[in-house]
This record gives sequence, C-alpha cells and structure tokens, in this order.
Amino acid sequence: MRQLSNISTLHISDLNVWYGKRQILKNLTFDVLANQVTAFIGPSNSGKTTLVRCLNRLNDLNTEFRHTGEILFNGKNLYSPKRKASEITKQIGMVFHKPIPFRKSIYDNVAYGARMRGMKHTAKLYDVVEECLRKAQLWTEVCDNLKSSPDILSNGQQQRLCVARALAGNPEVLIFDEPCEQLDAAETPKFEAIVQTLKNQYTLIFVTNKRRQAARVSDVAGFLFCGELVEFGQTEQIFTNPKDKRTEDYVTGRLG
Amino acid sequence: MNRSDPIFHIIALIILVLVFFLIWNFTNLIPDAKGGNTADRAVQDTLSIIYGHLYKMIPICCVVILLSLAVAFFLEEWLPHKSLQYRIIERIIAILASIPSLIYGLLGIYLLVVPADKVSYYQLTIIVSLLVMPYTIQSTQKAIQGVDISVREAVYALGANRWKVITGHVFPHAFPMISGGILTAISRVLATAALIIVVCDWKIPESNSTSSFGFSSSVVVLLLSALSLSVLSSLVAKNVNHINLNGIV
Repeated sequence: MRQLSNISTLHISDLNVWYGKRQILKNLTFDVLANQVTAFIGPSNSGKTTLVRCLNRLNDLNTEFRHTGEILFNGKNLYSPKRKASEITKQIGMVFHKPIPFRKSIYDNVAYGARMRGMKHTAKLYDVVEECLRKAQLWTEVCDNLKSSPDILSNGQQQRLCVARALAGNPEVLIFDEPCEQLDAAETPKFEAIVQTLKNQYTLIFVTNKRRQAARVSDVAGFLFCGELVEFGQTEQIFTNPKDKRTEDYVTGRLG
Repeated sequence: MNRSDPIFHIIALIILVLVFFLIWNFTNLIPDAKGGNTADRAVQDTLSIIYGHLYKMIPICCVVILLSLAVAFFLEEWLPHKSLQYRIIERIIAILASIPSLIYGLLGIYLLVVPADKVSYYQLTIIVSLLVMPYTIQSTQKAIQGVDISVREAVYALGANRWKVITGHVFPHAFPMISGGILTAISRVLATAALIIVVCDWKIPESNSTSSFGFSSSVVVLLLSALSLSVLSSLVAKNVNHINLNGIV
C-alpha cells in the first residue's frame, strides 16, 4: 500500500456555504493532503461541486455566494481580502465535467495555460506544451496535428487536452469535477490512469458520483450527503468498513 | 421555412433593385425644364443627400455604437443582475427599444430640427442615440448572455482576470451576434430615415434640389441600404448558429 503523505495542502474548518438564502454546505471540516487523490462522492445535489468551487474561489463568480468558516491553502487564508481570486486559480487548477477546448489550435489551447503564468518564450512554450501533452497522455495522438482545431479530437481526447491546458498553468492542486461524466467506457480507464500518474506531482481532488471510480482512483474519500460531510477517511475504510449507516447505504447502492 | 431566412431578404432586395431601376428609367423619359436629363439630376441629388449626411452620420454612429457596447458590457459584466440599478436601467432600455423607430424620427424632427430649422451635430447625435442605442445595447446584452458560462469558468479557472476573460473570450465569442445587432440597428436608422422622408416629404437642408425624383430615389437608396444591412446581419446570425453547432467554444 502506498505511503500516504501527511502534509496538509488545504485545511478546511467549519465551512458553511449559502447561495442566497439556501444553505448548500454545512459545517465541513477536513484536510486535503499533498500528493494524494482526495475523492468526494455523493448523490446529485449533495454539494460536491459547490465544495470544490470554494477551494479555487470559482464561486466568487456567483454574486449570491456567501460563506463562513476557514479555508487555509498552505497555511494561508484562501479568502483573505489581500488575495486575488485569479492568483488562487493559477495555483489550484480545475478540469470540468465537460471538455471545454477554446476556439484555438491544439497547441495554443495548451500554451494558453502556460501564457497565463507569464511564459512568453516560444521555444520554452513548445517544451511546456509537449511536456503537458505527454503528462495528459495525448502527445502521441496529436503531435502531428498541433496546429489543428481541437474539433478533430474525440470527447475523451478533448478532455485530456483540457487536463494538459490545466497542467500548463503549473498548478499545485488540480481539481477534477466529474471529468469522466461525458466519456465513453474506452476513455474512462485512460483518464483514470492519468490521474494515477499525476498524483506523484500534484495534489488531486476528484469529484464523482460513480462509487467504483472513486474506489479505484482515490486514496482518501469523503461522502457528502445533503451538504453534510457524513464521513471522511481513507478510501479503503470508507468502502469496506464505513462508520455511518448513510455511508454504508450509499456505497452498497441502497442510497442514491 | 424560417421567417428570418436570408432568402426572403435577398428576394426583397432584388424586388427593390428592380423598382429602383424602373424609377430611374421612368425619370429618363421625362425631359428636364433646363434641358438636362432628369434621371441624372435625381441621382446627383440622391448622392449629395446621402453624402451630406454620411459624413455626419458615420462618426456619430461610431461614437454611439461604442457607447452602447460600453453600456452593455458594464451592465452584463460589472453590475450585479439583481441590483436595483441593473433592473431600472434594463427596464428603461427595454421601453426605449420597444418604441417604434418612426416615433423617434418624428419626435426628432418636430422637437429638435423644425424649431431650429437646421440639423446640428448635437441634434443628430440625440436622434441617432435614441434610435441606435437601446437596440444595440439589448442585442449586445443578449450576445454576452449567450456566451456559454462554461467558457468563462474555464478561462477563470486558468487564472485569468475579468479583463482577460472579457477581451480574450467573451467579446470574440459574442462578436458575430454583436455585429449582427449593430447592423440591424443601423439598418433601422436608414429605414426610419426613408420612412420619414416619405411621411413628411422632409427637405434635407444639404440638398438644394426641389426635385421629387431626388427624394423618391433617396428613399429607395435608403431602403436598399437598410435591406442590404439586414441581409448582412441575417448572414452573420446564420454564421453564429453554424459556429454553435460545431460544439467548440
């Protein structure tokens, strides 16, 4: 069994989130440890996406968003008035549930991520693009078509392109928000393999409503239900010996 | 077939071109009192009317359109949608846009032009602003709202600030629809001008001509220009649908 890290990258304590008057998350407390895959599972509308959007401040786009509690990223308050949301998103990247390639070439899509962190040198950019496409296991498939539009790629390839683009921004933490939602059965194992290789270099947060996928890819898992973090612990324990009845019902398929 | 299909506009354009040439041929048959060709004078009058107004209209239209874009982007990107200011401004724009453009034209003539007996830049700007701004703002707002929220989120998630998101992604994505809206707004102005000439038999100060052929052909030219812009905006709109179907954002 892999030795788990004990360095906390993100520390969340007593997190409550509201959209307008509706409370979405209730008193969440947990730690995301470095170089691990932390998965959040739960039925639809349990608050998984809201939670991960709090972690990279993407919720700031919603004018109705309000929160209490503390989120520390490397020991510093994520929501400090001195810290800009754009600086946070450079350090905490995100891959969304559907592939969102930009209307640029494959090369420029990946280079966009690198340019966002101020990289301008063309030769270095090429190296970064190649490195990121290799990490996303896409290089061999697109190396001859770098100047082509991403619409020549399949859904799964486009999603891997989005991973490469996120990696080009050189984030410390990478969030996957149901990334395999629109992928077919052949693409999903490839994506899971990428996640396994990336965890050596990045801290990964993986949101999914597929129980077995969470069991396969994660080291630590949290079960969210109706905005509450019912149980949080090592994946093996969550799936084989859950402490809460609701967790047991969910992992065995009786709930959700 | 869809009513907004450009084919209808093209047919209308062809009919109007034919009407235009019929008028021209008809005027060719009438001898001028001074011995000249009436058709040539009519065309000359029309061109001088259009030229006399174009050199004023183009800079005014540019300023008004830029102002409209600024207002639309401010409303959509900066002002919270649930704020009182947003709701009030949006209501005002909706009311102004719903008033027929002919009303603005007539109001402009009777309140601003007739008392002064001369069209000044100031008066022209007010009339053009009332005609162009509400429609352009509304169409730009719809274009901005039409940009997929996932595009914004994807760019923000890479660490972009608001300015980069707007200039690098929102504006390019919304541009075809924005340009379509601007073309429609300008064609609305031209069509209104044509209508006003017909309704009021209004003598445009720049023209020294008293020839009614000059006015008829200027009406036709204005309507032709309006329809050409309308065709162009329809083609742009069609192009937008084609882009959306591609699935690439």
